[in-house]
Amino acid sequence: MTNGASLLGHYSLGFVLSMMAVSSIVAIAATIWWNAISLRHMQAVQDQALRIGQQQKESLLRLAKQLEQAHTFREVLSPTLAEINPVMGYRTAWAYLFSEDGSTATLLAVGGPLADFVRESLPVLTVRGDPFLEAIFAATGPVIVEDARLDPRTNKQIVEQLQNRTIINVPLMLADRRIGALGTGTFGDEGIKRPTPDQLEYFSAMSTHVAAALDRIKLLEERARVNAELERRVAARTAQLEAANKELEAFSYSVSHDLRAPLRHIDAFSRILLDEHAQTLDESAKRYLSVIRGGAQNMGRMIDDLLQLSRLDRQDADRRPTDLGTLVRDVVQELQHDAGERSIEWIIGPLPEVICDTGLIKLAFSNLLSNAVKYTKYQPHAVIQVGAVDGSNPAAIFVRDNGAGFDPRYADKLFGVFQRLHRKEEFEGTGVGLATVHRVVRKHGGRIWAESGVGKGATFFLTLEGDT
Amino acid sequence: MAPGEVEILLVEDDPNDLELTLRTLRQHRIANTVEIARDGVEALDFLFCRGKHASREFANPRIVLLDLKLPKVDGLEVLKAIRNDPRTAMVPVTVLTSSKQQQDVIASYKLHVNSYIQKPVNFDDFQETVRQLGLYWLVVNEPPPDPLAP
Repeated sequence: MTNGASLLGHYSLGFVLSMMAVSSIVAIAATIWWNAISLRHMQAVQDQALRIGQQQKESLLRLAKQLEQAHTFREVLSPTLAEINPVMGYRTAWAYLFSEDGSTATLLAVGGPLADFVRESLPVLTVRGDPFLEAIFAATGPVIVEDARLDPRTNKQIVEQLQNRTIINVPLMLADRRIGALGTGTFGDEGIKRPTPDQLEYFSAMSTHVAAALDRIKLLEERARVNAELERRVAARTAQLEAANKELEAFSYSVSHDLRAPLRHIDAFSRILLDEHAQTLDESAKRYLSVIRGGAQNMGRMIDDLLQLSRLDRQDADRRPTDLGTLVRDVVQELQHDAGERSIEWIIGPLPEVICDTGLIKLAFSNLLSNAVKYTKYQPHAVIQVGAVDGSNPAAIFVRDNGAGFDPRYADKLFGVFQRLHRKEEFEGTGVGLATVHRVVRKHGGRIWAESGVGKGATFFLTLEGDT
Repeated sequence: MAPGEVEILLVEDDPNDLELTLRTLRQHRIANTVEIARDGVEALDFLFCRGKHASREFANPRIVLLDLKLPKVDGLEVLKAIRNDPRTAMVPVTVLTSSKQQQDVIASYKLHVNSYIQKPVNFDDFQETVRQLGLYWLVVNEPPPDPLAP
């Protein structure tokens, strides 16, 4: 029914006109006209209701999009207030986040005086014993306080401080769990402003979005906290290791310096005794003194070797491309110089270029090759061979000599520190050379092993990678 | 040699090491005048003519044999004090010590020590080293000029 003309068409025009006076016609016309206006009004209200519905829907869509980008609690509340304001007319929004057991609530707020209240840090409120918070915690739907000054549930001291007037809270639900509450309202001069049922619907719908976003952020913060804790632990452990390393260095320093002095004295004064009292000392006495001297000197060498080994352990391998051929030839040249008159045949096959710590690998080959020289000293014609094992992957290098060899039954002792498989009077040495080679090879992630037979020479194989 | 001048200032706190070094210097007739300082303070007092050496006429030794581990003021601090004073800055100093640790070697050379010797454990080697030191610094080496000469 949109205009009077079609309305009039429903009545029997002839009958009415013929039966009524002009005043009656006017009265009826007025009634019809008035109905049309109120219908139009109701239509307008319905239109507005539809439009508000549309506005609210768009608002919630907009909010949902913004909440996807939120990374902090504040980034959730600000866009929420930005939507609440045009739709509901409020200027403040807040959220309570309940603890797992509901005993405490953390308050976040944006806009209005409440934001100043929580500006510095998020206050944690105790729920138990506060009737207002308890009501919010227990609620399944909106909790509305029309005027905080008059409502019996509110804490009048806080109301006085914050100047609350209207307070609206809806629960924030995630599945069946109550994780907090979303709130809005008026303060001070804003006076009382009760929300319409539509607005409450809208506000409740909003709480679903907000609840999801807050929960997501809580998870993000938890993850960040765990990461920070892990990093803290790693840093603490690293500090521990560094401290341990430093202690070891200090220990090595002390060993190198302080232990040497008494050794020097033992050696020196034995020597002086031998010199000054040669007349009164018989052969066995002189022999004892020689043993004392030998012991002191030996210990000095062992200290040097141990220090070198420990220094090796503590340093990192500085890997660079190294031409093993050149490196081995350099070592051979140095050894040949020391070997002097001896007849040694060196057979050096093609050797690969590898990525390794040049200094450490040179030390390793120096040890292996000087061993080869040492253990071939009783051969009239020593033959020492260095080469690459054909088709080996990872590349394996071998060092072979035709010297005294060792008993393969004791091969597992070969690389132990101070372990020897020969008598000191046959071959000198402290037994740290192969331990050094072993450490260097291990440091490069490689492997070392040996084959031999007594009197049949020895072959040492090593790789510089491929083992983890 | 001028009065108050010594050939060797030997800075050594260990009595055994002191005996061994002096014995060697004496036996091999390496030096005639050796001044002994048992710690860093005595060494500096001697060099700068103060404390119990206040009445000494200033004159630099030909060589300072410096142990590193000394009580009170240690070897490196003595070295630093020697190098910082223009009167003694050019005096030849040899560190003679048990340690061969890199940090000691580096620290000494950074303070411009002239040479660094690790005392050998073997006494024969030690004697030979001291003999060579004496021969080098007292005979072969050209000493720096007297800083107070006009």
